[in-house]
Amino acid sequence: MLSLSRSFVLLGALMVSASAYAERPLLWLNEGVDLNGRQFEIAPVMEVDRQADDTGATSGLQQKLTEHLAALGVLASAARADGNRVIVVCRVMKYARGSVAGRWVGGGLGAAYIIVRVMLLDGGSHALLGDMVSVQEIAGGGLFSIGAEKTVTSNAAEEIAKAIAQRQKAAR
Amino acid sequence: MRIHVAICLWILAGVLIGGCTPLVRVEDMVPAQMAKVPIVVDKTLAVAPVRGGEPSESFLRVIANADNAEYAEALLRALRNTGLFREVLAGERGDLVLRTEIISQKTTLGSKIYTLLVHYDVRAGTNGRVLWRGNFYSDMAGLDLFTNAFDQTWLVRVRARTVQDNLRQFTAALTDELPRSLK
Repeated sequence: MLSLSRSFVLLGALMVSASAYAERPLLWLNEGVDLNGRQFEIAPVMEVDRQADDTGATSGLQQKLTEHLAALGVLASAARADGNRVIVVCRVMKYARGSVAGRWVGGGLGAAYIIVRVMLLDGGSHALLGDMVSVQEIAGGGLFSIGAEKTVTSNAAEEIAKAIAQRQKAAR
Repeated sequence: MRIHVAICLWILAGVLIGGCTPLVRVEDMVPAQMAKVPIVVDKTLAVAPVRGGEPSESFLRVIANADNAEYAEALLRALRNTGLFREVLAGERGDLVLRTEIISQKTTLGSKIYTLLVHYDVRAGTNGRVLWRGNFYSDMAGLDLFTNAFDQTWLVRVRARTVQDNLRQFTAALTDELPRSLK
């Protein structure tokens, strides 16, 4: 049987490993929508949660998403309204930077999280082409979770870009 | 040794108590009934089976999501409450057919936030032409674990309220926009 101290160490390890919560967003597409060959333009990220804007989470998300889409080779080069373009509209629905101390205690205290709703609109008609929600959370880890508020934003941008890329590949 | 056994028993008790927690009731998912509008759409609306949800037959009910049958039942009741249609029935045969897809539902384990994104579209029963469609998002934040360590019913109730909010948004938009699109 484990000693009490080893039990806490094991419990702490389990909390750290289970606390980085990230789900791959599922990008829903409207009937008949094909993203293959289309270029993506990112609209200014908007925030529903005021805190997101105050901490720079919205600008961070916009920057990271731009980088990821550029790396995938699907970022539109110049602003021009046409049917080949897809406008990516991101809204930060909820955001919390949390705290290192809270994440050390665990149990959800101090969790850093971001919830982003992403809508893809046709560049010409602005019809809704796709929709998804990205949820990222880091709820534990103590000192190892310093910077979690930026990590969750970065993770969200990465997974949004990957979800778009997956849909493009599936269409080929 | 005794401390370890005691801790394990407490955790087990909490899990068993939580496991015996009743699932959310469908009536908790239905928006509060608003004043009925006069029948504006003199047609029958068939509510097709909901897709995309997950079954709630999970031991870890605290993180189980809304399933298709529960959502469909709440949807039926919410639509009947509006009084917008001549008749609302389950199935895929009617003057109009409502198709519903739960696109995404997620729960954060630490901060206990439940998010829900649902797609609805209304099609003509004769030719399947889409007459109206919309996507609606809802979420609800939770309390921290330590204030509700063994109250796993709390998350179930939050989920019900989130579904209720989504249905409220949907029925409000449908009541406002569908009659115009049918003209």
